[in-house]
Amino acid sequence: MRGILRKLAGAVLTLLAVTLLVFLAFRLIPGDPVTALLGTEITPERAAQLRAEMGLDDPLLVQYGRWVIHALGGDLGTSYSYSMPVSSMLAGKLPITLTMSLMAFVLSIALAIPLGILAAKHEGRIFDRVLLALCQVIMAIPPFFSGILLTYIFGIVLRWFTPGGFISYERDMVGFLRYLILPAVAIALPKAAMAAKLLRDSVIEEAGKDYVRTAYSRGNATMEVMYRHVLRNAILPVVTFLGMALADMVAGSIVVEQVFGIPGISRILLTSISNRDYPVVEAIILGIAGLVVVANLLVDLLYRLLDPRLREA
Amino acid sequence: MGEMRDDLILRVEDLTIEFHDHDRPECVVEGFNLELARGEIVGIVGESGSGKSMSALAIAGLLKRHAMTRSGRILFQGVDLLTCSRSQLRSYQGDEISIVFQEPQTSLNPVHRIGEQVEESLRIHHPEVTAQERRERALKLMEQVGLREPERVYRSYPHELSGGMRQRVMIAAAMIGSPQILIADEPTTALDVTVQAQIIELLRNINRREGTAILFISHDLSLVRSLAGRVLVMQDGHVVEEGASEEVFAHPRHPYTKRLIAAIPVVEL
Ligand SMILES: Nc1ncnc2c1ncn2[C@@H]1O[C@H](COP(=O)(O)OP(=O)(O)O)[C@@H](O)[C@H]1O
Ligand SMILES: [Mg+2]
Repeated sequence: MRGILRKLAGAVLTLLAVTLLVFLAFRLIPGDPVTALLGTEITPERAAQLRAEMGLDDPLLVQYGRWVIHALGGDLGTSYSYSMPVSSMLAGKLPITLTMSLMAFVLSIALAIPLGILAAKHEGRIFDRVLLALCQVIMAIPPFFSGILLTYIFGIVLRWFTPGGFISYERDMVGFLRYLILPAVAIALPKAAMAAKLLRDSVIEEAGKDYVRTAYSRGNATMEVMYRHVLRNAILPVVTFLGMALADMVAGSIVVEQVFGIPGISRILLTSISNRDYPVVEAIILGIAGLVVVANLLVDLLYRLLDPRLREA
Repeated sequence: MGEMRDDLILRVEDLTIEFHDHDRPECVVEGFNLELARGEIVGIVGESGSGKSMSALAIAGLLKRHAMTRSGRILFQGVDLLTCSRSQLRSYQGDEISIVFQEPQTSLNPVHRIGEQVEESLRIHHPEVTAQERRERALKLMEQVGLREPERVYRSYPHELSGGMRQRVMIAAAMIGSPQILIADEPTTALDVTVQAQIIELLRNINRREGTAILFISHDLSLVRSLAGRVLVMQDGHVVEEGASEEVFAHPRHPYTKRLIAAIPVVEL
């Protein structure tokens, strides 16, 4: 219980640290929102006036503190360049990106677990070798490239979907999810390949341990040894890996959105960065970091559930 | 096929085990013969690498099937364990023939509770026994093998127990099906001397109380003598001497046996 409280405190600190870093980084790089806002109409007087209105002259920590207090109250501020509340700007976008990331996450688990087990069972035989070789190749393909490849094969050659013909979830939930499958596959593939190989190696390693011999000595059939004994132990490193991979998959989503013409947060993120639209960028980072932190907490809980050796620690 | 003497429950005939995982085939057990009668304790001694564990694993049906050839016969209840079907073999494992290993630290599954592991054979072979009954039998057996606070140990995980306790757990798990044969492969080698003596005493009690035949394996001739009525001495995969353990101890014929006896440290009390 104390361990869990400590983890929660750690998660909050992580979120604070990440947002503070983004906050500081933006003040250190050249360019500021006032210049971007005023464009050609800029005069030193107007710039100074606007900067004062926006509170940009206050000490950095005061500005950051103000942002944190507002964020805690659910107010993420107003976009400088669009003059609209950040929350309503992101409301229709963040769910798309997060849905796609989660689909990719589920897909990589659904692919990796059966393939990893199957490869381990066929260790050294043809299925195992082919799968290992495939994994090696797929691990090296970045999602944007497999995205382009998938768009070409399924969109242009086979015409299973219309490239760029994104369907919003408000209009057609099923169509929306179906449109996201291929991008999710593109994001999931390298992670699934890595997780499958990891699980295969882990199963093979566990299968050689003494407790497996004990399990056989009690009359367990091979399947029972695999599912009751080996897998419970072999899955542990894979859980850790997938937890870390989730952050990568969110980052992958942002890139792949561009390839598939999906109106998620990627476009807003990029324009907001170049316009120095701090509130928007901060909110997006907060959302992504929040997802990652929550995922890590869940992985941690799951790990404790699976491995009794970690429970008292 | 099984023309066994009435009180014999196990007969190993001419067991030979050969590895093929290197370029040259390697014979680790050759021409091994053994007879085990109901309720008897037979010891196997020999230096490390002499083929004791391989013979034990063969009898327990635990030799991996690839990379090695096995010949000869291992007759249990008239069935040859080397050639019978997997499912027939499984029906004996943990129910009629149980085994306790040398490594109590690693022989238990780290993620399962002790209770679950003690009960496992019973759950597999006797699904008609209810969970409640299983638990009661496990707790009783855990008490009998000298585990204090069996209720607490039942809920524990292996990493929470000492080596001696884990070996007691292994013995309880091996005994839950009331097997005909218990194979103990150097069960005390990893333990300190006091615990070693307690485990030997425990095996003796099990043999007296339950009438379980025990195949006791050790590299320590004095341990074997204190427990087993009959002993086989193994060297390089061969049985080089066999007989009543007092006799072998008092009048060793083979030079290797003489060396083993000479190697026993004199314990000063
Ligand atoms: N996979 C293997 N390939 C070749 N030889 C092996 C293999 N496993 C064990 N051996 C050999 O088998 C012999 C007998 O081993 P073992 O029965 O474990 O000895 P003991 O239990 O008497 O110490 C040893 O010489 C060991 O090196
Ligand atoms: Mg051995």
